[in-house]
Amino acid sequence: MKNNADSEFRSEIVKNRRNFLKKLAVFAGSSGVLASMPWWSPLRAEPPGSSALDRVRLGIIGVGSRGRKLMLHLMETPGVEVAAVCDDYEPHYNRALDLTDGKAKAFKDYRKLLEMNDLDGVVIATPLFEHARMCIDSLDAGKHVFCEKSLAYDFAECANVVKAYRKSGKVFQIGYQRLYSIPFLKAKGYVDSGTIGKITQIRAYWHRNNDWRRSIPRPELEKKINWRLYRKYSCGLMTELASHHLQVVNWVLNAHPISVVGYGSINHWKDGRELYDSVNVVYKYPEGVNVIYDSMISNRRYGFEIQIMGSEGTIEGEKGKIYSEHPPTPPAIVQLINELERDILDSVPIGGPSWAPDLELDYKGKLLAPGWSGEETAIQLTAFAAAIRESRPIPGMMKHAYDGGVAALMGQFAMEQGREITWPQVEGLQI
Amino acid sequence: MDVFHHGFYGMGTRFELIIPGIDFVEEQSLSESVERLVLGLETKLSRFDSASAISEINRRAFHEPIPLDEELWEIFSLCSEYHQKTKGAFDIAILPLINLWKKALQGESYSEPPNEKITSVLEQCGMRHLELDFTGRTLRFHHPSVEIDFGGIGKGFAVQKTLDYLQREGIESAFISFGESSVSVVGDHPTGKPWPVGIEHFFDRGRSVHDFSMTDASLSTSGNALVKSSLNETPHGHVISPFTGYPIGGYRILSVVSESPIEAEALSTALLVTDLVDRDKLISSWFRGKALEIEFTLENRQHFENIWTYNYEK
Repeated sequence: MKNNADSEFRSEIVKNRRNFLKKLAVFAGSSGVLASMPWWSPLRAEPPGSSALDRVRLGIIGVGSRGRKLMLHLMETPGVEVAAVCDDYEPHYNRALDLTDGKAKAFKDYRKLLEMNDLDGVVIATPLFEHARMCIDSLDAGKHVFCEKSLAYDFAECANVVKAYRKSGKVFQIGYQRLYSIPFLKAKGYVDSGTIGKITQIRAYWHRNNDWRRSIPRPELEKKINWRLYRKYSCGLMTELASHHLQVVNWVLNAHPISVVGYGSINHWKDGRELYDSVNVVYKYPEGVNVIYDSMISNRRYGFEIQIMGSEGTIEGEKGKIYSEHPPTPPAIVQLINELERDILDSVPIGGPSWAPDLELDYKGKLLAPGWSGEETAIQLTAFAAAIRESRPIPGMMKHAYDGGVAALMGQFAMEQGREITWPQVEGLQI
Repeated sequence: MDVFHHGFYGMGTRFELIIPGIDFVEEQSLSESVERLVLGLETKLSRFDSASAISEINRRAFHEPIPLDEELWEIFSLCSEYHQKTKGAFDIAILPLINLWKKALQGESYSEPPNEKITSVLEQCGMRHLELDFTGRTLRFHHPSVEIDFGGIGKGFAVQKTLDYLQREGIESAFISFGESSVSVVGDHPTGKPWPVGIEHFFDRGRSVHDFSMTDASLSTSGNALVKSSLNETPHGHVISPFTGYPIGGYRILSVVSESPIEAEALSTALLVTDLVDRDKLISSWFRGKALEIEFTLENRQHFENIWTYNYEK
């Protein structure tokens, strides 16, 4: 059991979060935000009161490392109650139950959890191969769904989730946090306003240096715990990491990929794993824009970044910075160039004390959102809860889930099959 | 005529290179080389970069003599030369003094530091605490507070290196502006006449107060006025006298034209902090170029300029 100090601490967090949400509501209500990011619309609502009517009751399916983090966030989200947890792995099951002080109902089979009539929605944080089945069953059971990225294991599964969602009329949210990041929102604004010119290329990468392996208590649990390394359960680096950046690309370019080619290999961690530890793919998007993506887990010098490159500037989404291709040209230089072009000799009034950029930051990149402390997961979960309260689907969300999920799979298939994979056309699919 | 233009950020400001009438493909790689050269020097000379050579010197030179590479030796020798020639008016080692004023004049508590404080800081800094060993090519500080700041010469040094490079590449006509305070021309204007380079009026922007005719020459301007880089008025460019420890008064700018951008830059600051009556004596025997000082005043919304010119041409 938790002591009193701990629960006081938690209620303090909830109070602070309530203030944060009030500010967020004002921000989300501004027209610029909703025009480019309609999925912010649930956040316009005033923070919920503390009555039982305002409370959204959620069940967490899969409380491994990601599921546990989401659960902790949800426990700090005003108007949310973690009413049920589910995991078929005993240590996780016990850990989750303990976190709720034993208040939540606990299950080992998610289908039993779905039978709870007083549950509004579920949060699914299970291995990729289980996403589609769990999403569809949950939607069919009348539950609102938050599913971790990436959407599903193959093209058909992705389409089936969309169909189940359409049929259900329920809220669906995918774990693409960047959709709720202020720096990325600003980045999208700068791209749309033409500040960095025409986007001509996007380059993104995600590099780590570890084996991506979790320790296992017993050998027979290898595939259950280290599912990310085996093809039957996952699509590896593409669905676990690349999927995030591909979603940003789709958003920035207002498009999904046309096709993709690439190579993948296991060149470092030769420990019996089946999924690549190094991936290199090139996506073709409309208007001649190519997106170059690579990911590896044997060097972390360059970390992770998405570089949005335009004719007038560059945005580094992860660092949250924007760079101009050139400093603003002094007026006297503009005049000089004009006159030289027309063979005119005239005085150039340039001499003066040294020019300095407005902000030192202009010089080495300007921060897109100064002071941003990375609250996107909290905002995202708040949006999910608010949408459930309004019982209104989140606009634009399923399209991001589908386009990002399919794009990640295309990359994996291109490498595996050694050929160009084109965007799958699914007849009659309405997203 | 085709005119190539390449602008980039460097040394805390902007570098503009203009080359009239040469092949575009050639110019592209040329401008890339210039950018690499300037940014390479910045990496070495910037005290804002903790990994730079100068930062290392600032950290270690009080404790042990620091060996200087050829480039650093060159710039320190030049600084020493101009420090002597200007009788101490040019000084790269008064950073503690600059920081004292910067701190005092920043923010809401705008107030002058107390006189005793200024005197004590003044004693702790200055190039007299620097020892250059000409045989071993090393540098040592004799006071722990000493710090080097190349702000008064770094741009001139970078422009000189750029001019050397352009000459090697056979460029016969070019215009360089480094932050507008360092302007250099290669050869003549394409019309065959000298480049007419103006000093911009401080209040009436875009108007030239004075024109210099320049061929293979460099212009440097120092000022204590507040520079507006845009609508934000950025306080910038306080010039502190290494003799008195106080900033110089008025809205004043001082421009120097010389064959050498390094000399122009060193002198533009040095003359600004030297009394009007002492200037002639200080430079007439060795300086070959032109200098100009403008004091701007604003009264009843009318601006006035007082201009002093100095001509020491060959």
